[in-house]
Amino acid sequence: MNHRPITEDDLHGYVDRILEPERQAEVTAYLGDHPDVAKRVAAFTDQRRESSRTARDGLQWPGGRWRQCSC
Amino acid sequence: MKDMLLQVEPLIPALRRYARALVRNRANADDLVQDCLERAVGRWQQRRDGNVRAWLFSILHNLAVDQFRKTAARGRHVAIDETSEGDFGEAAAQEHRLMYQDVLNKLAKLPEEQRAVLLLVAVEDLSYADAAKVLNIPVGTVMSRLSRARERLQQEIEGTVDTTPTNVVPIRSEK
Repeated sequence: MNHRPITEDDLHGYVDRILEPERQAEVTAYLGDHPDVAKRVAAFTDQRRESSRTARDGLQWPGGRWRQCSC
Repeated sequence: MKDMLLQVEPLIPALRRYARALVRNRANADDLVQDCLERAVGRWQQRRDGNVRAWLFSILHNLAVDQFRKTAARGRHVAIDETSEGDFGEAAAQEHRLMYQDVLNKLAKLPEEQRAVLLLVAVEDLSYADAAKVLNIPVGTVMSRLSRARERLQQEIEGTVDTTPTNVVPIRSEK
């Protein structure tokens, strides 16, 4: 078995879901063994989800008038 | 021409979203998108590969960078609408929405070069290679900026940044 070390780039690739399935699985296993790194990666995943969703929902950007939410 | 419209039109909302998030001034952003579309029309035959999205984003990004330079040359002018962060804070009552808005508020505090990478990768779903093309930097630089941007954003979210700007957000990159 060829275990390449998990790099910083792998972690971002994991957050952005662009890794090959095999590598994705390796990172997942690695995160299971490294709770501190897992916490950081989870935070990055939250950032990604929230910023993407907010921008797409068209909520107001700070300092700029985006389409107002009509809810 | 018809081919161009078919390919470009669906991308206009994404271009607007990116421009507004990057320059943080709606009128300027919409002007940039307009300029971008005009250039795209003029240069449609000259574009090289088939990736229209990355090509359009790179035209737009170059225009935005030009605008940042002009703004910087005019002195310390911060391009924001009259809406201040104070208005933004008033939305605090609606906690759920605020939580999301807060991420954008924090994101806006990042240096422009870091913000651009995050917006292209995390919001617009560009590949690292396409983001590199748009920003005209090597992929390795995309990765290092992405990493710094995420760390910095997390510090902003957790409130552990020591040099937090008050109510003014610099739009120039920190060299």
